[in-house]
Amino acid sequence: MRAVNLLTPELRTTSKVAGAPAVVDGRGGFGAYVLLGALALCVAALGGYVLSGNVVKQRTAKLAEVSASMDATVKKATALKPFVDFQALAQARAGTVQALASARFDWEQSLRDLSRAIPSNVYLASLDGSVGGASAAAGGGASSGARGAITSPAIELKGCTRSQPAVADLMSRLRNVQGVTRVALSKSDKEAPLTVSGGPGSAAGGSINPCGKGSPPSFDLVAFFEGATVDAALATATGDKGSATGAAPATATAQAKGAASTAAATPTPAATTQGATTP
Amino acid sequence: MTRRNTMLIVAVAAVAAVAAYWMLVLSPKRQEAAKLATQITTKQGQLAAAQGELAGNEKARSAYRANYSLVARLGKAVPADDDVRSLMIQVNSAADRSKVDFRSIAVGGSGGAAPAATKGAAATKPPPPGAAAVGTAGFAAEPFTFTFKGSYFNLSSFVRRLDRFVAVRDRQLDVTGRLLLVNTISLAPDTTVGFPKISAHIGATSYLLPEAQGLLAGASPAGPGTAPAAGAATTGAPAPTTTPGTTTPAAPTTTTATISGAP
Repeated sequence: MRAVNLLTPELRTTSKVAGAPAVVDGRGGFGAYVLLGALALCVAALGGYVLSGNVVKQRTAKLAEVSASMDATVKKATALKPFVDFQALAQARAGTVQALASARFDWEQSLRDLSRAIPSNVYLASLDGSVGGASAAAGGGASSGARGAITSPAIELKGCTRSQPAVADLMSRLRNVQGVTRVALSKSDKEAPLTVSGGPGSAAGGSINPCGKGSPPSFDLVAFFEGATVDAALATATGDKGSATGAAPATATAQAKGAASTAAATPTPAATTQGATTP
Repeated sequence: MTRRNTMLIVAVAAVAAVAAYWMLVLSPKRQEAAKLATQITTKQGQLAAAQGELAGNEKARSAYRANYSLVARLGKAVPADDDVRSLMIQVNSAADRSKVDFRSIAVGGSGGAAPAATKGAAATKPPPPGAAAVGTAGFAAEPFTFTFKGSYFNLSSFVRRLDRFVAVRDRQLDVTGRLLLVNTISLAPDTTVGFPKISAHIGATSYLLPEAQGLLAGASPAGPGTAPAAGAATTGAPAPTTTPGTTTPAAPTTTTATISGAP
């Protein structure tokens, strides 16, 4: 009996190995997988594109919102800028005025302290005070060289007393005045006695020596208040070192010194009232 | 073409398609998104700064009345012009109360070496005669020379009264008159009557506001001016300060200015 192959001729060549399973639709199945894969990739790509687009849109909208908010805020802030400028102006003025007021030298306290310190046997012909700065550096008109050496507040005293030890005692007392850091003597001269005219107890037009008979020394000394840095404080307050007191004191000192030098020497209240009328 | 080759080609094509998609489509989008995120962060920072500035500005607006009052009161201590008549009345009032004879006043002086270079806002307009602009603060310094006669202690008391025109107590300014800085004091026995009468020459400096700013820098009770207008402030503002003592010199009003944020 002869064997008959019942398979169709297309299937006869695909499986020559005995026992191997026959492939039913090999080429058509691969194509479907490729197609499915391609579709899946397309869907994923589309999804990714859409998601990215959404993120971009969202962020763009948020950026626009933030920008609009910032613009509005800046506009409001700009509209209120004059108030800020005015506040800065007010604070600057207040600060400068406060600094200037705080930089002042306490003349009243110094004069009172001097009146307490000066002995009763001392007679002052003049008392010249200046805060320093340009006036002190320039010598302060009629002031001595000792005054111009230090640009700190200082009070220059000119007068006479009974003896040279009395001048030393006066210097020692002045050194103990609060705030005085240095007492400089310009001169103590018996060769140039101090004479005054029209003083108390003298005849009209007469001339006397208030320090007594003989040759009492006339002195010229300066008490420095180096702790009071008025000039530096003023320079800080005005923001201009060197010119804060430069204009005013020069003129004032020149006029004041001129007047003082022409004034007749009579005992000052500091000399006659010290110890008795100190407040 | 074998089946294996076909699969290889398909795989390579798929990878190429994915790479092209990534590089040409998705990556630009992601870069744009990242760039937007950076911009948003930057803008948010700017917004926060602007909001902070706005808060400060609103605080300044709420404090405007106090600042306006402060500036007006400070105008009594540092006026917009030399205002010598007010100064004379104030000094005379202090002298009377100290029992001191107010003999003379001289503005400026021939020996005053004024700084050649004016600075800041004061440079736009020359200061009054006798004044010299000093400092970056823009204040103009105007020297005065006074002559008084009186007893030693009365003169001392008078100097204290001058200082009390503007007093500083616990970071507060008490303003009752012109800010005067006494630079020189020269005491000598009076040439005519002799001791105990003392003749005192006092050199002092007063300060003036910059001409370009004026007293109130163009501000009004309604709001600040947009730009400092020279002269406008002194004429259009309610005159709270420049005339103290001109009508009632005997009783100067005390104004207290609280300094906030001053150095």
